[in-house]
Amino acid sequence: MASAAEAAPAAPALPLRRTRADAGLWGWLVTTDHKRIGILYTVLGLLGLVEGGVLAVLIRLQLARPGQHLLVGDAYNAVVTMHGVIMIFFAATPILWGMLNYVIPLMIGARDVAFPRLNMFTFWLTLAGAVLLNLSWFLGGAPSAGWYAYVPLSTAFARGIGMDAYAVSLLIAQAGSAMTALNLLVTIVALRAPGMTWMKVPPLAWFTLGSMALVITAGLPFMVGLLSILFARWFGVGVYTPSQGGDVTLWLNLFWMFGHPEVYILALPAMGMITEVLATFSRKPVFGYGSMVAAVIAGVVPLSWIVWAHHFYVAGLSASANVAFSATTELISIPMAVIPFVWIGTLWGGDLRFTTPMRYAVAALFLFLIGGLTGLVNGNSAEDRLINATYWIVAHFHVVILGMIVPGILAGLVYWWPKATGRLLSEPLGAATFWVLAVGILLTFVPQFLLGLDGMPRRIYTYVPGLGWHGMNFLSTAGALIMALGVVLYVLNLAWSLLGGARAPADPWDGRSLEWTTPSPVPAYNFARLPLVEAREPLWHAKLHNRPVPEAPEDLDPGREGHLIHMHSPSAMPLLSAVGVFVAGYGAMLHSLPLVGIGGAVLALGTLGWALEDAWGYFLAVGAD
Amino acid sequence: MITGAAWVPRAARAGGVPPESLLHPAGPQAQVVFDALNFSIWAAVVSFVLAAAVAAYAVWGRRRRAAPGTLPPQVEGHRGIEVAWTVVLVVGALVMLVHPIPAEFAYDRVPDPGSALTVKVTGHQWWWEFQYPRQGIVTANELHIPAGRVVRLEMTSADVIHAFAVPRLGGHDWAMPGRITTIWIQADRPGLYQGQCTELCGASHANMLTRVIVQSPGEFEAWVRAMQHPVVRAASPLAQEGERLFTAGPCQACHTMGGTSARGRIGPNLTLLGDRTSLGGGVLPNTPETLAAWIRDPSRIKPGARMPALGLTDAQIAALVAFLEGAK
Amino acid sequence: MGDQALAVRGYPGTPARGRVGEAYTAYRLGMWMFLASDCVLFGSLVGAYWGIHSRLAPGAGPSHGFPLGPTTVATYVLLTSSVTMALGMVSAASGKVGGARLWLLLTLLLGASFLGIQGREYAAMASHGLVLGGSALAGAFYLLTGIHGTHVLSGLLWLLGALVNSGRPGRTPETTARSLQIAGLYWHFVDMVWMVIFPTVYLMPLAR
Repeated sequence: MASAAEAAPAAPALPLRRTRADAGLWGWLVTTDHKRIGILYTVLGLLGLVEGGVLAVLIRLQLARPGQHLLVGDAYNAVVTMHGVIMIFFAATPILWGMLNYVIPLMIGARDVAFPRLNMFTFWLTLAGAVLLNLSWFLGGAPSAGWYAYVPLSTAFARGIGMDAYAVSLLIAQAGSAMTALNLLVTIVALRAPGMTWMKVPPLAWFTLGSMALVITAGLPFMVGLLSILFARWFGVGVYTPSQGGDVTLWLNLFWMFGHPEVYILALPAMGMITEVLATFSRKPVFGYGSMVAAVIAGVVPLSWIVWAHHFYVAGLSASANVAFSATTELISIPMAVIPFVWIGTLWGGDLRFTTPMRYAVAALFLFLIGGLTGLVNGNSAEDRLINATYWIVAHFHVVILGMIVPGILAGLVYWWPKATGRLLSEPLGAATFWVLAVGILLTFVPQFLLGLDGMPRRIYTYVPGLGWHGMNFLSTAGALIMALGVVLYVLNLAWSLLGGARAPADPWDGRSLEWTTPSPVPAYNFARLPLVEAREPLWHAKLHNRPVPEAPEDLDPGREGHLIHMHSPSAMPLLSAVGVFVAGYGAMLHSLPLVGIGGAVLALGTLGWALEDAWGYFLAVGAD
Repeated sequence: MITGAAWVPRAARAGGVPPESLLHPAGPQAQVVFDALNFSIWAAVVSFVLAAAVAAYAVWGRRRRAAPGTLPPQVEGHRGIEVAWTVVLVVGALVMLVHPIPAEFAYDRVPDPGSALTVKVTGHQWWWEFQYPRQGIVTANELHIPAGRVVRLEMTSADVIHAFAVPRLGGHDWAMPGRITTIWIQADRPGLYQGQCTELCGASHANMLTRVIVQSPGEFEAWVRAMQHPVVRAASPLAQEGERLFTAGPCQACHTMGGTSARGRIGPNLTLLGDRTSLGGGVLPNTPETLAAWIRDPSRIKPGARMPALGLTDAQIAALVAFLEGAK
Repeated sequence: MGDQALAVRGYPGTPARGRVGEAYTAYRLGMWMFLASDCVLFGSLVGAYWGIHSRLAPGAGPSHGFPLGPTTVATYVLLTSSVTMALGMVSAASGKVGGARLWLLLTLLLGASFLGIQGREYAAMASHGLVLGGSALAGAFYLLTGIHGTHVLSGLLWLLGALVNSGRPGRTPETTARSLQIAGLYWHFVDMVWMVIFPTVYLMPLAR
């Protein structure tokens, strides 16, 4: 039964506007356009990346030589904690959510995500979380119990507001992520263009599907754990306190049941971006699309739910439990290795063009081999008795992040930048940036593998001389400074392009998927006419047959009436609701019930407005924007 | 007895081995986990070389410059290759999965439990307490064990999660509040072995070293006897003054010192302090100068240290140092 | 609630060519996914409660703590509210908006009664010493039932909103039916969660 047959005789006539309803500066605050929301998220994430990076440089400067006094004791622990929390939750996550928000609807031939107001709300929640966390610097100290905040260090032994800020900001941010995941999942399932059946869905959308499925399930134990930490500190709830009958291992389980899937939550979209870039610049389709889908959906996603205890093999679990989790951890290496093989197959025999995105993607392949295989070394419980919490682990996850996830993001950012901004980036500067970053990443982290084998543990602010660690530490710091230079160059390239880069055509890279059929930058309504998808890689398929991508007839495109496109209304209710959440969160941080009440009232008001406001939308003519 | 001032790294480095290295097992337990690690590292290196070679060949060996206006073959996949790589990966994963299973069970099972030496380990912020229940002695930060004998460690924590880790002897597990974790270690030969707390435990997590002093069975028995019947002979007037300060002043509120009346339970047990190789949780060599600096201002050396600066005069500190260093 | 344009034009939600059967609306799909994540939420809370409970010695735990009588009544009240909700959904689906609104009102009253009974029980337990900051078991109990109660409260506010919305201009029996269908999914879920909490917390200790 086609949904277009829904009769609605009492519907009011919708207004026709000459320009988009969320124009101007205020428009950015009330927008419901996934493209604007994507840009906002990406900007927030880049700011987080810079903050997290500065903290990383401070860490490396402190460790360059033994016995330094730049950052000692809890000050060092706070910097390490904030580096981790910000990089994961307020840099990588927002950048990825921003890019996915922008690209996914375009790639699947939709005009927006399923729940546009919810989408904007999630951005505000992430921003609220970032602000609340950073307020802790000024309100008596940032959290200093590590990004995984083991209890009871983070409950009974952490004085000050830091851990409250940690719990509240991450509760809010994680709620936002869960809603983003819901949105993207429904979008991919329900809003694909006519004709786009499942096996014609672009690779990035499959990886996104997998990642989002993990977000909405794995995020919940984390939120329960965080709420329990907050309540332990505020009301004395004793679920983690042995003297009250509680158990410190409860947090271990709640946290890592989220914490492990979290790494795949970040890795999968980046892998999807790498896949798209490799196919485009090899001028061949993805090799082994079916294997790729199976690896993600039937491999990584279900297995990532059952490996979590490998993060605490040393917590005195029984040998049988350790063996079981070692087994599942080894098994997950299978799908995670299929994906690089798909990449190799895609490159094989291709007409390779080494543009900036391609350099990052190819580097990611090699660096992921290093990062992933060093993970194989940590995977089982017996060797973890040596390697747990040493710099080998630090080097392993940083090489996976900085060797695969970040290059995937950097590749994707350069790749889709022309589409979003209508400007090209500088290729020579891009090449130089790539090499600086590549040298920096290797120089920072290869020494850290050696430090791990020499026994250097994590999270120590200094080390006794004579242990043989000073040489590698010094090299690693040098590498970090080179990496910082690379980040500066990368950001400079973005700025330069905005200030005066060359104009980008609709299809600067000879692309294969639907987003390259729209103008650059993309108009508010995305597609004047929805495409009718006949094959995987619809644009490439059309190019091979020397014709344009066919258009869906009007009865399959209910959002269009002739040349009038139905647009979602902007709304201030997500902003108002988020203000309420921010105030309530601030109150929770300060242990102030009245403030929480006020925030709750504002949230209720915002939600009420959201439910009751007229959100019928309006019409925009094609060509007007 | 091992007298102070032997600064660990130089002693352990006599053989050129980094003291906390993961790659130089010095006992059977360490050998078990080292063998598992070694196998995995080699497996990873070999896999990397093979995979990187194939990837490099794909990028540089198999790229085909297509003539202008033409495309490379648009290959979507190959069932045979995809099945083959999946089979290879499954076999590899199964090998990696099965290989370390015996090691985990071996690690977990205390051999010869009847003849094992049992030590109760308690982690504190930021020092280790070692109790020998059968011998009836308590010490801190430096664990004395006999060579060639299984030592069972029953570990817990008085505050937050700490980790007991001495890589060359193999043991590495957490000490957690409200729970007891049991591991065993064993050293083949006498010597000084070192590790440190690997689980973030607060401001001075970096300053919580773990020293294991492995002695010959005879030396170990002698040490135990000295600890069971500590005799404190304050040799000089200065040391006697120090003893008076120690037992009458604030020190005895937190510390126990065998051979005196001091029975404080809050801080580390200081019995036979003069014989220890290190101070402050392993971060300082045990010399009169470092001990004086420590007493003067502990949190300058160890941020967050619970021991307060007592505002003692230099003369008082010198007296205490003479007394403490004389406690052998 | 939500984007009424869905009712006007069936947008968004264009079915892809080749899909068989009834097209899922975005909202129903979204609700199912939200419920999946809520399952994991309550699974974690029940798991935490159960983990703490299983570490206690047999017979330990509050003796006056978990009164069975009033809570059993509350359980029946909540179950009945699911029945009235279902009846409301059926009414709306057959176009009888007036009947649907009556059933909705009844559901609201029953749901509010559930919260009222639970609130009184909280007060009674607190006066017996079972407080949030007391034993770990008490903390886990209040977290689990408190979060469930928050879900019930949110559901009540939602149903109130649906009730108000059903009378506003521009709404048709169809839009009311669709909105109640989705709200009903949520309400039944919250009820089913209670059917897990009630035996776990109140009935299981009796079997020990």
